Amino acid sequence: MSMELDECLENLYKGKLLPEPVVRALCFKLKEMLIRESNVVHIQTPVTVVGDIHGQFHDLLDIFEIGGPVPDTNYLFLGDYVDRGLYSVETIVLLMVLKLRYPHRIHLLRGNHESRQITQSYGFYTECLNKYGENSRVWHYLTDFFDYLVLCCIIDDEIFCVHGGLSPNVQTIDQIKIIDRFREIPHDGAMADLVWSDPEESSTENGNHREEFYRESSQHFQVSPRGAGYTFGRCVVEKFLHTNSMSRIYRAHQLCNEGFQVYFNGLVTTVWSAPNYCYRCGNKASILELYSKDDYYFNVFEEAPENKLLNESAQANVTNNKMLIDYFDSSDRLSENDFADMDVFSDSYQAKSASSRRVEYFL
Amino acid sequence: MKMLIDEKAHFSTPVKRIFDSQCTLDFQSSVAIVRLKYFIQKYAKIINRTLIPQGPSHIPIVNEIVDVLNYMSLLIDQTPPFEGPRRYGNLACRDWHAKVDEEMPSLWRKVLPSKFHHCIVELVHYLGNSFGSATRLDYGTGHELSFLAVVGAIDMLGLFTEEFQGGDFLLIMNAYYAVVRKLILTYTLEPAGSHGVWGLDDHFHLAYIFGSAQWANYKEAPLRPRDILNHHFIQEYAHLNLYCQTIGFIYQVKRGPFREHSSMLYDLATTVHTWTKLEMGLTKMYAVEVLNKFPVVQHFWFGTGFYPWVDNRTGKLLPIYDPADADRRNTPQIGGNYAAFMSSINSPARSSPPITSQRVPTTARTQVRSQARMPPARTRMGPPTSRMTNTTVHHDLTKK
Repeated sequence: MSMELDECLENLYKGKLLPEPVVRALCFKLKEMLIRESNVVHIQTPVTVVGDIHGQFHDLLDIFEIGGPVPDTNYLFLGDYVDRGLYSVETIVLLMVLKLRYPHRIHLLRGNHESRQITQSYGFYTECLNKYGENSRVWHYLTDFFDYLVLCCIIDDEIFCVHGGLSPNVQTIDQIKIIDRFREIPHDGAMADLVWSDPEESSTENGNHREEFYRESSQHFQVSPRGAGYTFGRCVVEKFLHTNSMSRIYRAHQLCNEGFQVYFNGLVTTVWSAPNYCYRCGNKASILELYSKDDYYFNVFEEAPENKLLNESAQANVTNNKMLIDYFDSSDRLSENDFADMDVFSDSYQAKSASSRRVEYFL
Repeated sequence: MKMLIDEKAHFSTPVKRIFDSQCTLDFQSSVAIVRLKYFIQKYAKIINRTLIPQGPSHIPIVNEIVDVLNYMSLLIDQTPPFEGPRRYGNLACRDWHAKVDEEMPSLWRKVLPSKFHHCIVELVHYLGNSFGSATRLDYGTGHELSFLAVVGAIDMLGLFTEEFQGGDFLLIMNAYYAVVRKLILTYTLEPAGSHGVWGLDDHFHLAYIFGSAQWANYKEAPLRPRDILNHHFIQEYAHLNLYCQTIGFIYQVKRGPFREHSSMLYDLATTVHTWTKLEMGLTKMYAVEVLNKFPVVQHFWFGTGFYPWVDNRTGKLLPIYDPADADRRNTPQIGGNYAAFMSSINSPARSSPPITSQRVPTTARTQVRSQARMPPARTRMGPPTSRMTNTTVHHDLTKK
């Protein structure tokens, strides 16, 4: 409990896990700090902007090598620290301790994966169980802390930064400031859109001249094929920037082959910081080094060469043992078998339920 | 026993019905899911002790379907990826989708007897959705499910006669997976909703069920589950067994130690000793991790003929999502999480997370639900106290 922050950092940089009570205390302290922050934080250059990490801890350490360590370099992280990779716990806890130790040197935005619902599906929940035993307390501490992460950041009063993108429910920065952000990310609404939306370059800008489609899609928000958030075109971006006297938008949220992607002649830029995503995408990653508001450099890098397994003893099997047992242990062979219902064409099924079904679907 | 569609059944363009976790729950009792699970079980059973055939089928329609799939593969050759910078997925994939969409109705008219042409409106949807998302340029288990829906639909039309055997099903799946792998590689499709190292595979799940089903309850099976860790064996059997084929694709595309990037497959290989148990476990897992996961099944749409949004027990239409509901649900609550935060100071280890978004059910929904399926709050956001307590369906295929 009484572990000093520097001692925590020393362990975390080596890839060691912190004890559960320490994680709990860290979450508590950081919530105390973040509750005082506005939904939209204002910072100044120089700062280095970092996109999705997704538990690729070795690559995060690489980022501190390439971009410089905290507190020598200022960092703004755009969210999606957890899920998919092997080391989401190590990643998020290191960033938390850095934030507590150097609150003005590092800023953490919330991504769509900093959510209870999403982490239950995409790995972080399982990882917490594996690394801290079969109870979900650490997952509870951390996902409760996620509710306090800020949503947006403005650099030098003119660069708008967010994990996903714009929302039809948000015209002004002030409207973002009044969102009640201390909650699970909702299914829709402004808060959901900020972490879920994507820019969509119209086909005209891809060299395919379909004027009407261009006008249509660039002026409006379209429903996102992701099932949450929206896609937005150039006109939407221009209007937002003009209304709020901003010059451009930095965001993350989408894999980029070259580590970054420029939209609408630079009005929107995606920064992606997870190289060779999921061990297979072969993509580069980047961090965006902003020296002043008009002087910047995309520092592009590839996957960390050495990717040795950390905390091996904590995870004899990477897969959750409980899951292996639940699915693959044959002892429940005699459990109630809903597949009995499944034989929908057996005579007994037909007889049993003929009266209650629409028989016209069957001969 | 046969599952056949009435020729008078009404077919219509499938529509989206699953908008949130509550709809995902409704889906679990739909006619659609019952049929999908039925076909998984049926095909897993008939392919037992069968290798992927190395020649054509005796059944004309099987060969015609394989020809359609091969033709799609040919269209990939005719639609080379664009040169030059791109975000990730290659936009030429959209042109391929456009070509397929354009030709699909006529392809179906060629394959199907004319008395079934009114079904094409649904078939076109499910097949079109089987090759990944044209907008997102990705591919995942939801798309794989959509192809199973196509095969099941043809089956429901009675076109797979008595002679239809495991080898025929494997020929179709083999041709399908060949197209999909080629799409993924040619257009660098993203893994759709991958669970990363915490999931079974970035793209596929059914392939593992069917691959293990090929060798379940079969003493003479040439490989044991742990043999998949050996590249040599995988190479030797990739063209004969779907499990090996799918692992072979991982060997092809992933870098780094297998144990690290494909930890679940590694753990299965080292801890599950029989194909029978693998097949059973993977099937159970499919019911929970694919069919019961909102992010996946929200993209499965429902027509009125093959996979209707109808309650399997009552035969009545399942509740239709009401956007007005969603508005109420997302109205911020007074106090928000600040109250939760304050209370957390006293009891930081509280067992359930603060849940601020609750759908207010309409009266009709309440009636349907008060008869007691699971309380919606828990399935919506609440943490599973034990990962599998919400296993809604046990597929014990050993009982087949």
